[in-house]
Order: sequence, then structure tokens, then C-alpha cells
Amino acid sequence: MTSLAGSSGIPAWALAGGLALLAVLLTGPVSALLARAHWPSRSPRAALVLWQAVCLGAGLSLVGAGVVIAVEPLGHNLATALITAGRSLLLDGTWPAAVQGWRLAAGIASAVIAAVLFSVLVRSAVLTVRRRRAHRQVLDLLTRPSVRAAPAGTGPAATTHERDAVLAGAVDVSILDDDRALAYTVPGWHSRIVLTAGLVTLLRADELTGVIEHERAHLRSRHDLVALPFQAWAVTLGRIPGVRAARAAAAGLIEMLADDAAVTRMASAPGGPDRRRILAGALARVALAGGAEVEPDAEPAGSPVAADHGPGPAGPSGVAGRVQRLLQERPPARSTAVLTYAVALVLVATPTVLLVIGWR
Amino acid sequence: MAGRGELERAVIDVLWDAGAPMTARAVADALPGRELAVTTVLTVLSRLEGKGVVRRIRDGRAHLYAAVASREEHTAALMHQVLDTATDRDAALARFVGSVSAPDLEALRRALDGR
Repeated sequence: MTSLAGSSGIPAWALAGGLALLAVLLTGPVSALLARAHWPSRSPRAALVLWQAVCLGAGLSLVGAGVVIAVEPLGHNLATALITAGRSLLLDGTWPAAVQGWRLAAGIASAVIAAVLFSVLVRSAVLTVRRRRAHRQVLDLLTRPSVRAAPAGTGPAATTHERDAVLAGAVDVSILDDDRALAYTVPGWHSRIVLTAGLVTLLRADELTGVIEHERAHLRSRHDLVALPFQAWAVTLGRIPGVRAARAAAAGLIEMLADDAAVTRMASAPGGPDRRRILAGALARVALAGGAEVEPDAEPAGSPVAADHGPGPAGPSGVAGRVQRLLQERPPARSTAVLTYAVALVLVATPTVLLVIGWR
Repeated sequence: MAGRGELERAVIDVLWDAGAPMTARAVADALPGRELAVTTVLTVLSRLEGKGVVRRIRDGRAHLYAAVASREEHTAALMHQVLDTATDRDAALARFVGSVSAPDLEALRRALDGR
């Protein structure tokens, strides 16, 4: 393969360098800016897609840069170069002579990065499924579907009765006998929604509906699958700042999506309190009841995003941010969303198209 | 539908309520309102053993079965798993309210008061 074809195009070194630079920009400043932005809470779905694009774009660029360096002498774009390499390996049974030394090193580095990203994802998926199954097995021995009567409430008889009616209608909900106020889902094929007895007695019937609809939204939209790659990479590659920011931001945005879905599905009595206020109240009460452990303020509050916000009220994706967001009720930012989807597309398309067009 | 899961719950309930090791026959006799063959109970017990909630103790020529932990201990363990997902492990479970920071709490108190 000699350089007859490529009279136009980008020099290979510029292409590889550009891709590497893109990867660094995406994991560094771009992630930091995105984590600090305030618009995502108004367009959580678009923001989530953008985060996915940032991560995918960064991975593609980084791996692509190494591959370009490795196979550059074999062709003028990724396809022709890889076909040449494959032919040499399979038909002639020889290693392509041009891929030696530092080219070989770059290729191996790329392959290792790709393999690590992929295997971390698979490992995390397997562990997650196993952990969920173990949890579910014990859970199912301790609970039965909530057709059974709810635990005796402390409130007036009427509210207890209303709560019982809510729970009797929710056959997909299990009640766990614990005083702490907790609600959670066990996602997966055999999913479960779990409320503790403490949470049931803490909340009013309408608030309980809000919590249940929030959890149903998680399960229905398989939010666990959206969160999985972010979590998997954050656990292993947590040292890279962008990766941690992406995980924290994605987790917060997913909660906002479930909040929004819950609001649209909750039943509300005409003339009664607004549905957004009901859900916000439920969130605040569960958080204040301390069902979730409170972190000492010396520590950077679990999510680096929240910590990044400095002395402000709280990170937009924390509980307080979610409550505030529900109470404010700002219309979804449609033009921002459209622009965000476009940027996301460009981020993924750029490295892909560059590799297809090729180099000089 | 009230087959397998229901039966497992009934058997572990007997062991939890007893709080002491029992033979499979004693478990079968203690099951309320059911006439179950001891072999059926044995099958259920070995499934529960596989799930790690029941352990088998050899007692001479017989086998005794006991709950590994009490109801409360299992509940506490589940709660621990749920709360643990706030840390850096892969989150297997999704919580309604994640960990709450001190400034979060302050803001929430104000939001609730304002209602």
C-alpha cells in the first residue's frame, strides 16, 4: 500500500492528535462545565443524552487516536487500513511489516483501553445482577406483595384507611418491616418496589402515590441500564475527574426524570395541593426523616457535583435541588433540548466520521 | 402462583418463629394448615440453604435445620445493602432519596416550613 490515493485529507499525525485532544477536552473541561451547568435540570433527558455522548465520544476518540497511529501506513482510512492488516494476518500469516515499534505500542495501548472499558462494563453488569438476585431472594422471604394490610398507622383513622387503599391497589409494591423511612427498587427482569413500614407511616396517601410512581418510572424506563455504564466506569476509572462528574450528574438527572414521570402519573384531587408540591413534600419528608444516612458536612457530600457548587444551597441534582426544582415549575426548555441533542450527535459523529474519511 | 415462593416463606417463618434448630419432620408438622410430605419440606429446606438463609446441622444420624439469622437481622442486612449503594460500589439498587448533605437538610427544612 503506497500513498497514491490520498492527495486530500488531514495528515495522519494531525488526525491522531486531534482525536487525542478531543478525548482530553471531553473528559476534562467539557465534563466540568457540564457538571456545573444549571440548564440540565430543565431538560434532564437531553442532558443525559449529552453526557452519554460526551463519554462515548471521549472513548471513541481516545481509542481511535491510537488505532490511527498504529495502522496509518496500511491505508488511507480505518476501513482500508484494517482490511490490509487483516489480509496480511489471515492470508499471508505475517504481521504487517509497517506496524512496528511505537506504532505497535500505540495500537496495543488502544486495544488495552478498549478492552478495559468493555470488560469493566461486563464485570459490573454481572456483579450487579448477582447482587440484585441475592437481595431479592431474601427480600421475597421477608415481604409479601402489598395486598396484605399496611402496618398500623399512628395517624387518624381516615389517613390510615386512605394509605391502605393506595397500597392495596399497588400489587407491585412490597412492604419491608423497618422503622427507617426508605423507598427503593430492585431493578431487573424480576423487579421489585420496596417501601419500608417507616416510610408508609410517615407519608400521606397522595405522597405515597408519588413515591410509588417515582419508583415505577425507574423500572418502566429501565433507568438502571442507563446508569450502569456511568457507575461501572466511575468505580474503576474514578480517578479521571470527568468520569466521576458524569456518574454523579447522570444519577441526579435520572432521579429528575423519575420525578417528572411521577408527577404526570400521580392522581390529584381537584382543588387539592398541586402534584409537584405533593412529590416535593414527600421527598423533603423522607430526606428529613433520615431514612438515608446524613453525611457529615466535612465530607464532599457523596457526589463531586454537589461539592463543586460551593456555598450555594446545594447541588442541583441533590435532594434539595430536586425539591426546589419541583416547587419552581419552570417550563421545559425546548430550544435548549434541541440544541443539546444536536451537540450530542456531533460529539459522537465527529470521531466516527473522521476515522471513515481517513487521512492523507 | 402461590406455589414455590409461598411455600418457602411458610417454611422459613416456622424456623424464624422457632428460633431453634428443627428436623424436617418437625417443620412439616409445624406448618399451619398444610399436610406436606417430609420430602417436599426437605426440598424447600435445601432451596433455602442454597439461598444462604438456612443451615443444616448434623445431629447424630439426623439433620437439623436452623435459620442462619433472624428476621430482624435479615431486614437490617437488606437495609445495609440499600444504604451502602451511596458509596463507591456499583449501585445495584435505586433509592428514592440518596444520601443527604447538611446544606441539603437545611434547604429542605426551609422548603417544608414555607408550605
